[in-house]
Amino acid sequence: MFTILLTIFTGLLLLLTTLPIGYYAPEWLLLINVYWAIAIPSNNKLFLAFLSGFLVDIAFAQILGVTSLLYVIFVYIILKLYNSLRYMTVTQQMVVILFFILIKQHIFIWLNYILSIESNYWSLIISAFITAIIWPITYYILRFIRRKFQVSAN
Amino acid sequence: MSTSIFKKSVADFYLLVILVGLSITNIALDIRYANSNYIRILINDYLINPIQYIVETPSSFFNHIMEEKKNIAELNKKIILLEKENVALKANIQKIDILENEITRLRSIETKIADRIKDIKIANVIRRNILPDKESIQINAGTKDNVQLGQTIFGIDGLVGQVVEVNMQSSKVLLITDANSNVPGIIARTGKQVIVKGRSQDNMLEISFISNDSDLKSGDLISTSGQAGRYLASLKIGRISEITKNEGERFATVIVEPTENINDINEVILTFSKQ
Repeated sequence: MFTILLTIFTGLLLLLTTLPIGYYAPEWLLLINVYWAIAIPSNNKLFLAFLSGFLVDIAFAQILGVTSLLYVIFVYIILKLYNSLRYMTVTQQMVVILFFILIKQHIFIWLNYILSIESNYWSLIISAFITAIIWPITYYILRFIRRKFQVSAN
Repeated sequence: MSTSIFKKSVADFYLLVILVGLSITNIALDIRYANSNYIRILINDYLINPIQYIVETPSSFFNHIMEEKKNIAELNKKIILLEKENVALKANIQKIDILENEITRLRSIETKIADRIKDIKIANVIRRNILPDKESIQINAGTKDNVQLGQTIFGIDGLVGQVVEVNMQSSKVLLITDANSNVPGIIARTGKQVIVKGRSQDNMLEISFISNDSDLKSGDLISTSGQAGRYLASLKIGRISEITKNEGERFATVIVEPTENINDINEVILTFSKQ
């Protein structure tokens, strides 16, 4: 669990490094959450997703809870699908994640619209593609960490 | 065996419902009580800001080395220049006093002259572009200096922006050049009330909804009017730099250049005196 929290912390570091480019930045924390949900599926991944979303909201100075809502639903769907995702190649996973993120971004824009906040549509869409491209790298790095430190407990 | 699987999936679902409920509660509470959110302040001060500091250390280290290269002669030159400027300013202040008296005398009608700005605090700009997709800065003054949400931030040459988030040690400022900021202003020459809007793309401002036939000249000074209580009154915003009359449309496009050098500003002024 400690290793998982450490990777979340690293994700936060990367998130703050890419903060100046705004919503074009890839969603590091989401990818890390997705990886752990596929690798070690268990209920407390939902808590982790909630926490990560909370941190993203604070870093981006958004309304608290918007991102955590989306992340929790996202990770729930991944937890339901982890069996089929494990049998896919990384490229296939990338495509699946891309589609999920595109849906997620549209829900995010819709939520912002309800809360009467302007959102930059194309930056969010481009961010989805960048996030999907980064997925294989995240996957191999986190798999290396999981094997090296033998993370198997939930 | 099947019952245990069933139970597990139900537990999963309940957890989802609880967390989703918690998120929605968070959204509702954050909208309702935006000004007193201590969780945000705590995490910002004790987690986000230290990490941001760590992240920025390499680049700021190199910047520091570059700055050290400025030699003493240059600084001496600057001191002489500043002394000269100081004397000139002192001389000018006397003139302003006299002018102010004259104006009050001339206008026998009740005039509202903004109080002199006193009780000043000077804050430094720590970071730029702190809010994603928004023109913004972070300054090193927060609740410990009595900074309040919506407080006006200005520089020596004019208006800079207003505070949108306050933490213990720092606060975030939305600049007037952001597309989301609207400043109620007044054209000094004619007294016409206008709304000055930011243009994020080129760091200029524009006057929205001003009709084609209104009396405007290039170089007109625009100052804050203090209406709606959003910004302090009588601060310089900018000068009109370009007027395009759109034939066949109702409104003209008027571009305003801010008097304050908002892009490179390093020190901003906060005031605590009441209007």
